[in-house]
Amino acid sequence: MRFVYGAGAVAAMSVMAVGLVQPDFAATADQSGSGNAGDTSTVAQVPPDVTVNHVTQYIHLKPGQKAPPGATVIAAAAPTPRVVVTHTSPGGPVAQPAPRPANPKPVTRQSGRP
Amino acid sequence: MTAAIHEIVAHSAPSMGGTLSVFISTLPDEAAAAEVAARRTAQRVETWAARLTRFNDTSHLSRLNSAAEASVSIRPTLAAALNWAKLAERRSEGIVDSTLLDARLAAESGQEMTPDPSPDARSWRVLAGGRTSTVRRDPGIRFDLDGTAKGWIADRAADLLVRWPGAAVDADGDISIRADRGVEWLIDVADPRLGVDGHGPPPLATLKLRGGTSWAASYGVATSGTTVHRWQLADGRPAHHLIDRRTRRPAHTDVVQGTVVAPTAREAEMIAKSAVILGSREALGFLARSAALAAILLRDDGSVVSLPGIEAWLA
Repeated sequence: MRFVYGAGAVAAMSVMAVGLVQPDFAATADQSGSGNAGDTSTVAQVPPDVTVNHVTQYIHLKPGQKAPPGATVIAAAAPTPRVVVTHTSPGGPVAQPAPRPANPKPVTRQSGRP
Repeated sequence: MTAAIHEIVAHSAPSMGGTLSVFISTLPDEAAAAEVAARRTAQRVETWAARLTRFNDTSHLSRLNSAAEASVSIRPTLAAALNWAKLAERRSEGIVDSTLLDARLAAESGQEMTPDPSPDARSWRVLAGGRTSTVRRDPGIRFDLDGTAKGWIADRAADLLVRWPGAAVDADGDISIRADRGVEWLIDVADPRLGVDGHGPPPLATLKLRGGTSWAASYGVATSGTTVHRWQLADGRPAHHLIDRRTRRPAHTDVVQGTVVAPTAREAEMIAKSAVILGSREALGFLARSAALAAILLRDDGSVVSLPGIEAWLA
């Protein structure tokens, strides 16, 4: 099981976030570059608590599916194994980790010898 | 980076009049070694069971029972099993009594046994020696280890598998489990009632036994009851194999099956058997005093009784 860390998508979303929450920021910079001292008041108007939300997108790769160019492939954390057994038969039960519901499991029962 | 997932290797074989199953939790690249370990464990179980059975005249137990002397030398396996039987008698407050072979045989043949007014007066003990111990017993005492031996064997067999991340030994229903770190083992509790169209009913419950967060956790699960070893006497009265030492007859009980989770299989077996013999009214008090972690009792009216907090143990 693999997940794809979409680097390109992250960059795009970051730009969008900046553009959405800081629409005046770029204009302020341009004005600073112009050497206009009066623009300092404009800089001061930028909300000091603005934050940039970096959005990370993960794509769950299906079997045989390849990651997009530039994407980083990481392994998902392994799920907690869960032993599931359904019954014990004299012929030779086999217990398996979940999710394989057809596999046998220990059964506590009254014993067999009369 | 991929975390390793254990797989379960299982081996089953006819044993002790039923089925022995050994389950080993292992990394995939050690599966072959786990299979070998499971088979060797099953072979060891057969060796112990052959020494402790009363169904073979040459077993160590049968030789003890047939000896006329009051003091009899016994080998280490039988000594260890009898030591547990003595401890089980004390921990069960006298209910589990391994000296009731004659009462059980009488019940099977329909004979009436005279109630024992003072069952505690009959005495036996194991005197430890080096490779050989000695049993000293009052005249007439003969032993039937039965389920007491199965629980003991399950624990002893599980001890052979400590090098594996997790393991379970199912000695025909009495199960010793070492649950891997972070893993849940699910155990079905068989429903003894008849199903529809010849098929058994779904499990009475499914128990959930969790491994520790940092280490494996050990449990025992056992079931005792009156519905499997059951027969009818000549006068039509039903009888079963669980003997009440006070009456020396099949216990008169409203519990048809008891399942217990305890720290070990041998304790679980002892507690479950006691609960069935006592009946539900007395059993609930006994269970609260015992080492039981969880208990499920099925009564003859179809109701199910459990210790408080059972929800935490159900899948």
